[in-house]
Amino acid sequence: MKQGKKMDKMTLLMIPLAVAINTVAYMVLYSTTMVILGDSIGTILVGAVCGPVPGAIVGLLSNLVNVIKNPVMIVMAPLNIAFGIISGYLARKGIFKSLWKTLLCTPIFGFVGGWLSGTIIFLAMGGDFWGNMASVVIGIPLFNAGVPKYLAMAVGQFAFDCIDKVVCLLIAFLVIKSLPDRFLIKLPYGKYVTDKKPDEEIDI
Amino acid sequence: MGVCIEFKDVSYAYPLTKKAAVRHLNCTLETGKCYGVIGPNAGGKTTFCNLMRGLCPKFYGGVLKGEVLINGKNLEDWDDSELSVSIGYVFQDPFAQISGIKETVFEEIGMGMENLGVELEEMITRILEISRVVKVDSLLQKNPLALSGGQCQRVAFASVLALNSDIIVIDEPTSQLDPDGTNDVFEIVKALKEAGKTVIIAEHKMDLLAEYCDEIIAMAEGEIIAKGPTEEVLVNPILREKQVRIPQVVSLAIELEKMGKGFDKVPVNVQEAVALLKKREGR
Amino acid sequence: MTEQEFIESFRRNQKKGNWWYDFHPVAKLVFCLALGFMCLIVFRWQVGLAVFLLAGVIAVMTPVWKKYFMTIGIMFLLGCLFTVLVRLYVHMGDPGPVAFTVFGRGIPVAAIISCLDLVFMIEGFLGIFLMFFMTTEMRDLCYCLERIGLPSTATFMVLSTFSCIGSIKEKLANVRESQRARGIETEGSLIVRVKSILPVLFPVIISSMTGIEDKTLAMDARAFTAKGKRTALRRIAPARPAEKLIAVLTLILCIAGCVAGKMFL
Repeated sequence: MKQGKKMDKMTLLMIPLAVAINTVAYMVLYSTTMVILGDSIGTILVGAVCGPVPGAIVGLLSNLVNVIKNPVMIVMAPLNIAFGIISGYLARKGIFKSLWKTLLCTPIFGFVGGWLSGTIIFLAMGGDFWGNMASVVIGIPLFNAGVPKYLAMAVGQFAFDCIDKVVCLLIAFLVIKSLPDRFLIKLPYGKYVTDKKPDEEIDI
Repeated sequence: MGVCIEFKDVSYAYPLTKKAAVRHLNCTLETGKCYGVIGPNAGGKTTFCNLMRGLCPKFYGGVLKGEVLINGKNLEDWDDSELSVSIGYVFQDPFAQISGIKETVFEEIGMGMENLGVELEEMITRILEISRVVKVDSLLQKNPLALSGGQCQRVAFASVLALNSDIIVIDEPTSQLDPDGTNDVFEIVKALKEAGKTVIIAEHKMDLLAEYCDEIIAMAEGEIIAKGPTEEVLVNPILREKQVRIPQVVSLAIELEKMGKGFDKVPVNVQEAVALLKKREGR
Repeated sequence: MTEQEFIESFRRNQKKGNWWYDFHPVAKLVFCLALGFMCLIVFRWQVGLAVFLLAGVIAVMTPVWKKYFMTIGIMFLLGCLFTVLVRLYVHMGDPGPVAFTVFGRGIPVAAIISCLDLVFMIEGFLGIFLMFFMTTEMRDLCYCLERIGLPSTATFMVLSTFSCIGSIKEKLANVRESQRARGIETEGSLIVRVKSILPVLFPVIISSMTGIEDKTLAMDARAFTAKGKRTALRRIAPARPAEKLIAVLTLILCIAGCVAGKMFL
């Protein structure tokens, strides 16, 4: 019995929902902590349970939604797409079955979300600091201490993004663990995040 | 009347379960009739509806044995999109059935026809006609997301009816509605019957089912325990054995029968009971 | 409007009566994207200022001009001002001609120009895109993109996103109220608010995700995956030759502008 088509329909509806999750998670987390963005939770979730391509689409759509309010964010599109792709590939390796493995992947996301995003902003803003917490708290002090400007900025962005991503990964892991198995196995990558397998040999 | 749906020794188990949800289902459903599916929770009613609609196993996965034939064709041979047009489906949660991408009820009802490539004038005519049948004509300019549960359910019916399916499967449509909303839904079921559609409705509201349905299919523990004309099935003692709820008037008539004060025939709805009481009183 | 007027509106192409609102959405998108990216690529205050002024002139000719200028002003204060101050601080005391002194340290002219480049790049980019998004409905853009070949599944995803955002925000509010009723405080000190994050966010995410099954069935019941031609109740007129010409010319001029800007400015 063909299963492909049905999973496509659910994935199709998961994608807009994940964008909405990114939006609402940002509203809740950033307004409370002012450090954690939380706007990649949905991207990581869909990447983990539906695959890298749907994850990438969530990243792109999330970015487009942000662009409507702040068009400058369009430069971040490749990074948001990368989060979804990375999440999908990590799911295939079984990372999301274990909490410590999930959290150990923080530096990968931190590098993409922090280091690379910092590089893009650095270049887009004419090779100089952007006025954000990472620059003010870590980047500028490091620069004043003699570290080259780009490196100082990148280290600051990396550190702050790791804080954000460890929380996003933790929440994504907890959500996946809380979803019913009968729901997860309907999704294309559900089999990589749960140990339960659909039993084709039920005797009825 | 021809046969539109046929179950041939159908058993089905959802994935990750060891026990079959339904076992050895054998029945035929005729075109143009209204079937009520009754039974206790976990009796297999929803699975029965899902099987007809092709959701088991195409959407839910799991293991299917036996054959389900829709208009003579095996379920496996049906294309998903053709099946969704041939068999309309309305289910419990009224709010989940609103797409969220249309800004007016008018466009929401027309969505299915847009997907099927129906021409503009025909779409407009059908939307107006259907909105009068389901009584949403005063809501056409409203945003579907601002509607109440009962209104959403009526819009869901309209959206499905717009596809002109000959078979409509309805799974507990009134479980989240108030009494007025429930009555509206059953008025729609009556209109569908009059239009010659085949309606299969799974419900707990026995009194209303007894009034509107031509035949009843009683299910318990995953099996069909009784099927036939409403008045025959509702008096079948197996329903009480398997704890399938029956209309209050039927229970009353059975108790009166035990006391030696039975009617000439067992009434299945309030109107019949009143008529029989009046006859007894000589009025 | 009356029911008859409402139904008649579907028999015509949708129009709002303002030339910029009624500009074909795809042509408008090309126009704005070209100008916006020219600001970003050239990164000079002269280009940014020109695009910003053009966006302002267009805004004045639309009913949304008040909202536009208010948004631009807020974005400047929130987005640019802090960055400008950080940059001026970082470049304080750098060698070169001094524009003015602050606390005895000179702010070089080069730093001022760098800040002007940044401010006008952002305001130009922001301005032209705001003029697009404030005057174009997503459903109209999606309709036009479908006409030129974008799959209906893609446009569905875009439109569904905005609807999902609205519903999930409502759900968030309901869950906050329910958790408060269970004794979980959601307002107050930082610790209290941090503790309430998971009890509020979790149910919203889980219930939204598991609700996708029903949504999928509902879309299926509307022949969403039907193959073949699709029609539409609500239609937009195809792009006029003048609109296409403006879009193409803008694109060509902006590409040339990027090259010239990088070489001469």
